[in-house]
Amino acid sequence: MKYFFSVPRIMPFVDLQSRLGINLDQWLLAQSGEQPQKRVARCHAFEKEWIECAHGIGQTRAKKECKLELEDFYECMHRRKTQQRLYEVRKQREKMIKEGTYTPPPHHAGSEEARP
Amino acid sequence: MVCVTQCVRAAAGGAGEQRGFSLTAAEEDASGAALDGKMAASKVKQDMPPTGGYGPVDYRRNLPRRGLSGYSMFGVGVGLLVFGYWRLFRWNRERRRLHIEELEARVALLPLLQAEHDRRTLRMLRENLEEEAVIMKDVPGWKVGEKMFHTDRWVSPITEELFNLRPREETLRKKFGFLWYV
Repeated sequence: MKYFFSVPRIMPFVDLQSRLGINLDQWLLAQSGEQPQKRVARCHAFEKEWIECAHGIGQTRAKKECKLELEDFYECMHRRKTQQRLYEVRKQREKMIKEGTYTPPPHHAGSEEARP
Repeated sequence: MVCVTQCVRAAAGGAGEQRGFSLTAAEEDASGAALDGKMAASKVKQDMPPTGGYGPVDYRRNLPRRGLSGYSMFGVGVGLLVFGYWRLFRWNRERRRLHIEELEARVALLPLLQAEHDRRTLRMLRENLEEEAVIMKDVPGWKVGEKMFHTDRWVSPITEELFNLRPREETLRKKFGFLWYV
């Protein structure tokens, strides 16, 4: 939508919406923007860090200098590394259970009541 | 009676015309005479009008002007609407007060609920960590409890992380057992 209204390909450096003082689509561009009912997004902090790091320094520089923030933001959104890690643990656990070297404790075998 | 014979004659004449010729006068008289004779001979009991004819029939239009006028009907409708709206607004205000009361109750209970939830999360994470240490002790190059983020901030664990070593149905129940909306 930004490209629809701001058309940077045809009119770059002309921030039309700020000039006219209107907010047609900038309110929905970032999760860290103002949300209805003041509800916060799950990756609000990571996105805020990344935007603050990468703002105003250009894409080439941002890709170099804000690598860690971007990686954290990506991980928060998609949890790729977390899921990979969990998968490996599960696979190893199943292998060990098949071999017979490991028995899951009662709270992992589904028999106990959940308690805080 | 007269009509009957005339109608029959007309029908006979019409039928005759249809066939391409018409009855001659003599044949017409013969058919008429035969019918009259049959009627005069037997007294058949028929449903006849009373002697002297029927009484007078009031056949004039009867469209009485009655009821409310258009304007007053409109007024009654609008009045009912306004009354309904007044009732609705009053009840909505009452519902808003009740909703605020419910929210206040939730605010009062929040610390307790949040503390319970946090304790539960931490307990499950601790159990997972200990089990991971046991399971992955033979895997080379594995760092137990390794963090996936470069930051030191506390990142809330996702359901998969908490329920990783438990039966799959527990994860599904946690994720899909209660749906806020469908």
